[in-house]
Amino acid sequence: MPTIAEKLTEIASKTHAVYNRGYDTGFGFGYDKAIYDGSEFKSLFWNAFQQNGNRVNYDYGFYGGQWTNKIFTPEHDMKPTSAKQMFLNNNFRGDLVEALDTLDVVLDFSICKDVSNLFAYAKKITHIGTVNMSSATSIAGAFVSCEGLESIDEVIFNGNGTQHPGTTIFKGCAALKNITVSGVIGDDISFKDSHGLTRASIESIVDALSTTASDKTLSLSQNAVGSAFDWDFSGAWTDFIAKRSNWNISLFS
Amino acid sequence: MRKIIKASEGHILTDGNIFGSIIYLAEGRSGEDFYEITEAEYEALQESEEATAEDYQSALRSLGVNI
Repeated sequence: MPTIAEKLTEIASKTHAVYNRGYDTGFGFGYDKAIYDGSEFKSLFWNAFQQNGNRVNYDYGFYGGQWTNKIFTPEHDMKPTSAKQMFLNNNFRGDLVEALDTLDVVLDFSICKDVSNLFAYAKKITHIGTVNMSSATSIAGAFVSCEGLESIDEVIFNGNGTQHPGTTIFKGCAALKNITVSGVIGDDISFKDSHGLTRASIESIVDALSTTASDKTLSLSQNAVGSAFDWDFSGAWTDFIAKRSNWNISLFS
Repeated sequence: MRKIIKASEGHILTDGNIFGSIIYLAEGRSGEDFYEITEAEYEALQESEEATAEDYQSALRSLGVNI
């Protein structure tokens, strides 16, 4: 006999079908109907989908193109313990921070063990808040191909530099300008596709690099560094990165 | 003092693990094991290693997620 959690997970995995069904089918979660007439079924849906706020496994939670701004209206705070591919290929457009503030919903990753591909291919999100990945053991690809992403309030790595971001974590983040990084980056990481990264962001990234890591590489856009450091590659830039002489710094044109 | 190595126009430097147009090597690291590949070769390497959205969709279907 499936557990309630298993039934809800099955429902959740088929939400693209669920939300198109009206409550007159007896299904009970006629969300598409609810958002037009504001019926109580909207809350019924979110109570089920989010297990009345108790859901902690959000793997694939908001995966896929059916999750538009109209549909993505969670009603409960989210503090996942696992969020693998949670927003993979999500179709939300714009400022996720503003949307969650409007909904009065908190999205907290501080106890999350898996944020791999968390926002992968969520190409229309422009602003993400704090992503505290300090508890996560899997973080690769968390923001891969977030083509429209312009700012991330803060990405928090753990304090001992043992995580493996890989070169994909920010791959394809072509619009990324602003990011604050805290914690310790202890392994190869790349921002090579972020050609508009601000100086403050670059400084934040470099300051987060482990002081004890050996033969690891930070990759950046040559254009971003040039713009940020007045194209003074042999002066201001070189002086700045002297503080992390244990790191290879690779620039891509 | 860091060594700085630069690729020629249209090329990327690599040692097989590190890639870049200009590489500020970590102190104590020599650039002797770096060689040039073309930008096209580099892009081809990137594509062969990247999981696509279709890969993820296929994986999800294998998990029984109806998409």
